[in-house]
Amino acid sequence: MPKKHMVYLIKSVVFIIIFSVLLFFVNYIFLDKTELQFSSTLNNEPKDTIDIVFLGSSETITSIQPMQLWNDYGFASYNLATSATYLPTTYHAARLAIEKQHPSLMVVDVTYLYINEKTPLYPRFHKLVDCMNFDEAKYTAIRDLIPPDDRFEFYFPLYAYHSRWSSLKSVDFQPINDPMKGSVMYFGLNQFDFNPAAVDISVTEPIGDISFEYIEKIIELCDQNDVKLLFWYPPTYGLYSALPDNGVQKIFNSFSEYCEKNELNFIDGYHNPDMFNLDYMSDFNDDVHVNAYGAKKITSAIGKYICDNYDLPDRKNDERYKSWHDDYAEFISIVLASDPNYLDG
Amino acid sequence: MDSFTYSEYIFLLVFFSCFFIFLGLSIFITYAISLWLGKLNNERSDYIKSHELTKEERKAFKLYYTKKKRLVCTLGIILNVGMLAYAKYTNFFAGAFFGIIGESFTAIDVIVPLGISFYTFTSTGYMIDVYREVCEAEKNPLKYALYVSFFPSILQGPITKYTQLSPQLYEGHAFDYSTVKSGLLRVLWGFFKKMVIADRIAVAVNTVFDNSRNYGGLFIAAAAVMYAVQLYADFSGYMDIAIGASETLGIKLTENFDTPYFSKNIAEFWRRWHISLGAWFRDYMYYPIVRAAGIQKLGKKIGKCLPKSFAKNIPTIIGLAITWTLIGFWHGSAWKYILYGVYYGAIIIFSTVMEPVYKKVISIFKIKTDCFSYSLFQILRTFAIVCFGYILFRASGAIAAFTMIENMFSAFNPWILVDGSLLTLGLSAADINVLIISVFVLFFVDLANSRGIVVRQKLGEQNIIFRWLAYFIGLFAVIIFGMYGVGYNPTDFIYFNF
Repeated sequence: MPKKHMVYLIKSVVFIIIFSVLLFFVNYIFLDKTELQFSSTLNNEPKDTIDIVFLGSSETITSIQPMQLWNDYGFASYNLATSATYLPTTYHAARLAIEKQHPSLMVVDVTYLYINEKTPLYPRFHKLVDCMNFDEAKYTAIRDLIPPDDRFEFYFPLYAYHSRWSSLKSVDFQPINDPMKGSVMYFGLNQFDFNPAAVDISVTEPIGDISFEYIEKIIELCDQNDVKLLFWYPPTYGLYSALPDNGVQKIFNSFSEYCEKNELNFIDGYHNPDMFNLDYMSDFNDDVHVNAYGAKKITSAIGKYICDNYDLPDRKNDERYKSWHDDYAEFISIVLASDPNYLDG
Repeated sequence: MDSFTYSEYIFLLVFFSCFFIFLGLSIFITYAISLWLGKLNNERSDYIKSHELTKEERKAFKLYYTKKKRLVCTLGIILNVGMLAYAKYTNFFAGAFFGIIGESFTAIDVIVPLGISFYTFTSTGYMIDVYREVCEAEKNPLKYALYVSFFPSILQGPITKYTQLSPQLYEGHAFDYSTVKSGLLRVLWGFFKKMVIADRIAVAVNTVFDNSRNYGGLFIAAAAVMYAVQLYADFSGYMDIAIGASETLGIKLTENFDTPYFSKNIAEFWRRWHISLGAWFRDYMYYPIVRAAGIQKLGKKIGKCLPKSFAKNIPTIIGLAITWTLIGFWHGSAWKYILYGVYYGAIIIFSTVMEPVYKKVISIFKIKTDCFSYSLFQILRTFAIVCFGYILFRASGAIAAFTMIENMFSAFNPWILVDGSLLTLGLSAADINVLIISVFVLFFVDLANSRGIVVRQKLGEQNIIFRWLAYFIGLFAVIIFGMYGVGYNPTDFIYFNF
């Protein structure tokens, strides 16, 4: 190759590299940062340092506080749930989690079992995949769940977010730091003047074919990767009436039978709300989500269940987890800023 | 398969089938007719060379062949332009016919293949050039098909002559770094014009034109000015993309714009706007009409009862009237386009006829014409006439256009320019800021172009840091400020519809 052409080639390659680096940063700046912690910090955690990953929807995001589990049991856990997540998306979130962290235990919330849809809500799916490195698991998730014409915005999120240029804030230019390890805390109050527990019926209704297919895929994925699996229903009363004629409960009943038949570990927060010791007058933020006090009780119960049923390490004295102590301190300061009496209750 | 319904697939199948069928037929017809014309050219030349003919015999022989060729060429034009007429004007003519006889008419579903107006003109021009012996008929059908369907120019032009494009298409092109770079920069500039300017300003333009009953006075004037910016940024942006893409391959397409809004009169505007279309109509329509023996005779006949200075313009006036009506009609099968053509035809004819009067007025009042203020006056006057014409062009129909013009003059609301009313047209203050900056950039680049300074070249002469900084700013300006992506319905290039 003539020297002149070699110079052109080098210049072109350098230009493309600089452009790609700039594009990477611009892409990050324009990402919608609200709730992005659900995926970004998992991606940033050192590889294979998370022992428990929680998957599912907003009911899990608000119910499970990884930092509380850290303080109580020394568990290194992460809450990778995203709002309104259907089972196909949960399966791919599990694949992403295994790719990044290979946890020992996966806790899967099946709240949206009754929605038999494959295509996720796009803004929610963005939260899950946008901050993940581009690898086979992310590519497969997009290919599997998103129709061909809409995939580009997930391969190249700037396509969806570039119009945010007029609403950028200082937070957009800073790295995401999430001491909550993916979870969210609400401090609102919604009081039920009745007992909103499930109607006690035993009638079943088949699980939708798509949901069922992906439940089986999640089980197979965990089997293949030697990851223990725990299913659960969080107590989400507002969703119980989402289908007419107790339809949600009938599907949940089918799933309970399925878990029993296949000897799958399963916490039925739907039929046994008392196991969390929730107070309907003080522990809910709205009809669906618990507040920080409800989350404290649920996390405590789930932590005890895991401690009693799984052999997971206490990482508090592990050098690799030194930063988790700082994260806990920050978590506590955030919580106390909202309620100075939080630790007392 | 997920997001398309089967009916959409069938539509796409029919759409692309139509595109290839019409294009293939156009290529086949003009290729065959041109070969036939080439054969007649050769036959005539060979015969004249091999026979000793007297001057009269030669003249008669040539005339015989000219008539024969004219017949063949006319057949080709009828077939080729007939396809265009069928695809584009069937509903218009049928509607007009049934309207005249007082019957109702339901429009037929005719798919207008993309680019048909452009490749029909390209291939017809070539055929006429073979008839005129400007070029020889291409024998290789693949080479000819490549000329007609050359991808950068097939959809919106420029309509490049065979003699200019074909040698470049068929010769080899060694890789040239600076040509590729220059081409890519031009493509980027085209995307900037289209995505940052045209598609952004289109939001406000559409708000006014699509709800024209709700607007009057300066809203309409502002919308017409904004449409002038939109159409220029859109069409010339596409040209930059097409010419730039072609340049990366080492092929130079003819320029289609030469800073048209800096023109001092309408005739000049049309020499600098959509240049290749104007040149096509001039070469293949206007000149043949003006030079036709029948028109010359008619001019002399009418001219007998008119002042001498006016009479000499009769063939020109007839030529201009026919040509401009057809230019208007070329843009689309609607009365508003015909009126648009007639509007420009009338202005140019009026200017031609009144030219001696203008000169007299200038001389009587001793108006200085070689100064900046006069040039500025001419430019603004021309721009105002062009913007007025765009009301006809962009309105949903001829009646809507007249209503808009009436509303423009019947309402007095200059305060809308300063009281924030323009912010109600769908663009945010931030969008308007981006628009103002972008239009300024466009203005200064065009100003430089009009003075013979090619900004890309000047940029290429700078140090690498400044140069690359400019390139990155350009790239990210399009990526960030471009109107595309989720929640945005992308708009086609305006001239795709023609």
